[in-house]
Amino acid sequence: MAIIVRLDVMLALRKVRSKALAQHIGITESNLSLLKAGRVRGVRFETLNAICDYLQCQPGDILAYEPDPPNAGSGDPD
Amino acid sequence: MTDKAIGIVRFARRLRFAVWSLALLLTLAAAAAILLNFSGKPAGAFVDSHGLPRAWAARVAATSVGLVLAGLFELGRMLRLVEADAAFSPPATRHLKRFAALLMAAVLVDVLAPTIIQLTLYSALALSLASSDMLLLLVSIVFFLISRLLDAAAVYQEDSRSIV
Repeated sequence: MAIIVRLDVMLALRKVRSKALAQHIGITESNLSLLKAGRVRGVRFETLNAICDYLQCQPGDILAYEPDPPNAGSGDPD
Repeated sequence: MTDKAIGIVRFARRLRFAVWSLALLLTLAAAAAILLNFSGKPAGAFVDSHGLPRAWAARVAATSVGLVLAGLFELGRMLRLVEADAAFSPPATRHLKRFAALLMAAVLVDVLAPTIIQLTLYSALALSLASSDMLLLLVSIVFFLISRLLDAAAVYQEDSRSIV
């Protein structure tokens, strides 16, 4: 996946616990854990807004785009 | 669980009790009708014989009621899943499809069985189709459509759950 979730990094930088953030956003800790692991299909603007509000950061601090290498997942092209 | 979801669960629970009550009433009424009508005693309940001998009419009525009861049983199981917040799960859709199929089968038995039996016994062809039969047939087809919609809704629910 080209979109990387860096929420765990921001949580560590702000010294915030996942439980506190989950309570502020209004989602379960398990869903927050899935989000941190990047195992979700999407993030609502509402959730993103609440995260940025609580962690005092920008969406770009949480999400990053890292293109997959061209040959990722396929064999040697030769 | 949202207020709307709680309301749906309560409604499903009441409907399930209504379904079980209806199944019980139907069983008692059918048993009374078959036993009393065919023993020659006067009865409040009656079985439409469709011009068939009593034994055959009783068999048709029992089969039709049996299918409806099996359908109600499936509907009750589906409603139990709705109460457990699994309205869009594959088992719920399966139970609804079975309910629709059994309802349709009951109508078809009620309409076609007397015709087939008359044709066999008397070599006479007579098809009687009541508007209530047509309506039940239409309702069962609508239930099939609803079960397809539930299948589609399950996909949307899965999408929704994977978006935080």
